[in-house]
Amino acid sequence: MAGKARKVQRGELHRPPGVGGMSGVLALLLAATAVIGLVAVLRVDNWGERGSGLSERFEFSFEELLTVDPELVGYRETGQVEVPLSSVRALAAVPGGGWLVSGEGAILGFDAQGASTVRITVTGEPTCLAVAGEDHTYPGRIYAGMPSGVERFAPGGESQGMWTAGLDENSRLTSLTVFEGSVLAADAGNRVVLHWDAEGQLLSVIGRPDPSRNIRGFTVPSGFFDVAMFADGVLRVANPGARRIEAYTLEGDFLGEWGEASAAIEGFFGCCNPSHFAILSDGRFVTAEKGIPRVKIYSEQGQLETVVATPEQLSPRLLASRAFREDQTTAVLGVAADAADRILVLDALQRSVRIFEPRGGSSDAT
Amino acid sequence: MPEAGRTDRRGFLADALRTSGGFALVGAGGFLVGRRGQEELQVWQLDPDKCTACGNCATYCVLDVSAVKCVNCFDMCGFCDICTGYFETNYWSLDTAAENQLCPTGAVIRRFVEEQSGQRFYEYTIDGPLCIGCGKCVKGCALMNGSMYLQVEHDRCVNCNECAIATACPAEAFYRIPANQVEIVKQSAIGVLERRGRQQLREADEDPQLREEGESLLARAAVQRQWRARQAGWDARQQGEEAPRGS
Amino acid sequence: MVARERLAPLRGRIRRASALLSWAAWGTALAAVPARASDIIPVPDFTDYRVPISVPPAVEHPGWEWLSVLLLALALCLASYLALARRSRRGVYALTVACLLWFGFFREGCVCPIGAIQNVALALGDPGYALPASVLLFFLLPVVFTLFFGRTFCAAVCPLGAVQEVVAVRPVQVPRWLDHGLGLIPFFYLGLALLYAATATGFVVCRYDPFVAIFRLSGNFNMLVFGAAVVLIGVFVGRPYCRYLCPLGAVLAVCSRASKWHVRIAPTECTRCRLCESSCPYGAIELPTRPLPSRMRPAARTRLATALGLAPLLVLAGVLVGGLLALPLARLHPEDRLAERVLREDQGLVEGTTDASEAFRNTGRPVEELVADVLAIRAGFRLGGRWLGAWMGLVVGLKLIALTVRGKREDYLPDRGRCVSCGRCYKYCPEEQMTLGDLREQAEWESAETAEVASP
Repeated sequence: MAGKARKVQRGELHRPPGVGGMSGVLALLLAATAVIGLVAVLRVDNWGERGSGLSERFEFSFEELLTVDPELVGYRETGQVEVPLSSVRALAAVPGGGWLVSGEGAILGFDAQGASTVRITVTGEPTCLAVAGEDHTYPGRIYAGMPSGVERFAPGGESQGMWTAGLDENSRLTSLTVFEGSVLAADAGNRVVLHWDAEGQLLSVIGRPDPSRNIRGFTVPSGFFDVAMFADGVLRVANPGARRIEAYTLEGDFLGEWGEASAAIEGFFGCCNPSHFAILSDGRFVTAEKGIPRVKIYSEQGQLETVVATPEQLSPRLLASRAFREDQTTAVLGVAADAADRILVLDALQRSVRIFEPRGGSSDAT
Repeated sequence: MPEAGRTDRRGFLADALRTSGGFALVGAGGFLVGRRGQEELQVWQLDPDKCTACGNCATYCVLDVSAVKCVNCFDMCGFCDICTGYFETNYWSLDTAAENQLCPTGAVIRRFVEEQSGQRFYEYTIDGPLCIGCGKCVKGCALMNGSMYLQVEHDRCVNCNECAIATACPAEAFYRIPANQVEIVKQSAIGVLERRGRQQLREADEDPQLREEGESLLARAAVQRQWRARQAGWDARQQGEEAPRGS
Repeated sequence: MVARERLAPLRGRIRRASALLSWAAWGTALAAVPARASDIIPVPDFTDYRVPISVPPAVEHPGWEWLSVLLLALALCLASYLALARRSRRGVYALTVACLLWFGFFREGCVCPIGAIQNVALALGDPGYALPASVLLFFLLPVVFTLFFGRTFCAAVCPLGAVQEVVAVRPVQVPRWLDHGLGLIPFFYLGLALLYAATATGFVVCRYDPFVAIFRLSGNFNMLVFGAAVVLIGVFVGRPYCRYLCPLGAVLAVCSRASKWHVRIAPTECTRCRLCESSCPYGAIELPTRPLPSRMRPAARTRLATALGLAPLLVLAGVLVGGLLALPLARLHPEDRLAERVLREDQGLVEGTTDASEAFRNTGRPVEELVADVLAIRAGFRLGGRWLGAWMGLVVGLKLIALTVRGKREDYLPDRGRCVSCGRCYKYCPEEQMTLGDLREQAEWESAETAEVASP
């Protein structure tokens, strides 16, 4: 059979069309198509270097929040003292002058010129500090809020034991303040202020919601909850969730409040501000905010007086970059007013204490 | 048919090639799969701790609407009244009018929850179909709690072998993860999930649903911890290996 | 080169940095563990509102890829059966369309065996990458089948091949010289793809896959243009991607040369009728060779000797050139680009920042560390570049040898490397037509002839 098939003539076979040659025109067209395809491939931006290409309304701009009218800034930075610790956490002014800073494993003391005075080694990281003044039962004593309780130190740094009265496993001490025979601490975990005597005896718990006494309680959305005693014997508490500063008697009676939630410079911005505050010797308030970091001074009645430090000063990277992450925004971990009413700011990003003084003030020479 | 001698020679050569090739392939394949144990399907996911919310997720995905979308981890959320992930920074008033909303597609939904000591709390949910993964709210939320973050949604992702967003990600935040891991949560969210899980278990008592939820939360957190630890270990090992070669 | 000069002064610092690296690595490992308790933000205590839990959607259908592996194996069996045993062009074509629909449009082209080469290479290069067994099978199955049956995978299973098979409606012959020249690209592309995959730079084959955008009916505009261009060319040039780009095609072409069985044009015996000569749109039919006239033999021998001598030289040249290409090759690595950018920014050579440099600066990672990383990457590319060069030299050398060797063929045979076993040529063979339905017609014709011869 195969042998016979050789005789088959072409014309009588069913023959599908063959593959022809390439004409010049077609070759040219194909080459052109290939070039177009190649150009398209080369123009693919694989690395996202041309950006997302989203329109402007997709851009997040917080320019307005970050810029502060220079007219409003009444302070200038006059010094900066580095804290030789791997992390910083809390700041407290020493009534006679100077300050204390806590960080991982240590509490460091500095005098008013920024020279190191005392170094107390501790286990863990003290989350808040207070130093007793002359009016206190034990002048010069250092109180430190530790994860497990309140630890006392002699002015020289020797530990005098710890108390835990009124604390439970939810407790997170975020602030300490001292007045005459009292020691008070803000407990962010339980959202109350604890009031002890100087021996650690719990005297009262301030701020438990109680409609009959017109006490609404504190809203503490994050681990920032600050308290301060002023010489008038009135306790001031930052209610960060409500973005207010509230006043209480040591017995826990509500006296009044001020503060307004706002993105504008006059108000407290964000979910939970002011994160920290301190009281100047004349009763005015120094407030610090987190998120968009800024330090401002308010009058006793809560009127904005001046800006101490702008976001630009406190977190330059926040301004420089459009893309940022929240772990970089907690720039300020404490404010304090020292004996000379200079404003001390604990800068977490630079791990230093920054000193601000009024513009054109008398104490320019430091 | 070619003559017998040629067939033999060629056939022998081809057989030899085939056999050795086959053995080599199967051996190498077995070694590769065996080296890291039997791993199942892998999928793409982004590490929200590395993410800079640059917006590339919205446009570089091969899908018309990106597979990357925003997630709100409610247990990290402050339920703020002034939500920086919801309101424009220059909002006129604190209501849901479109001009006040940060999200260009209106995908963040604000719902009043309750009022406590003068503070009003709101719940913010993401309307999945509207979200295009631009990350604008993520940037806004980062000013506060950072509970909003981007994730690849695997019911939409087509799981390209080479993810176009991963290549275009300026923060190199994309990883291949085991399919059953599904997500990469923020480091800070791991503890939050664990706490919620433990709380659910404590409160569960007779409620099987609460118990189940609590257990799945703890399991999720455990997977995340494991992944983070392994990642840290690899980074360390890889850098240790490469360093001598580099210098 | 410029980059190398710029990096040079940094070397001293880098050496120190790399000494610190192990410490830094431990540092990051430790920093990763604790989250400060008080920084974790508690949710308000609501009275009667349950805080919802965001649950990510699960990965859908975790069994899909195993189904795909199964279907791949089945399709390969069927393809080999249809092409080799049944010799059914129609069957092969139907399977092609079915596979195009399933692997292409339904599974949207991922993971495909072509891309799987890179997963295997990455697993070889990066011990941190876990190669899924299903992906390995996606690579192995076509290779193993090709070792036995020729490129039946290309013919009927590969969705990329299928698109081109379907659109090849007006194929023309590509000039031999051009076909040989372009035919080298897949081997080069394969080398590049393996290098980039093994260095964890990226999967370039997937990145520049012209058809995946078509399968998904969405994708990057430029890639759609590229896909359209390839399809358009594919109308006139049979399987342009398979022949002139596909890296798996290069692998399978080699395997196919060693295949146990392979499709034949004539079902039984080739009658050298020349009818199939112009039937193959892929230029895969080899003509019978005539013995060289004896006066031309010395010249041919000289050519062969030259090619044989040239091959090792080409490999050597490849090694040398490949080493020099390390820096341009490394440019595709995102970290290399990032380091370049960051250094230029630091030296004030460029204004502003990019998303990537900004993201890098936000991490607070020291530049020295990045540079040390990139130097390691470049060292990898220097080594890889030499291998790539050697591979390219080898490919060119072997090609030259192959061009000078005149095989001894008496029949019309498919070139085992190029033939994708699509079965288009079967119908052209009169032997085939005789064994099929046309037989009767032939028999009638034969009987008529016999009758004619018998009648006088």
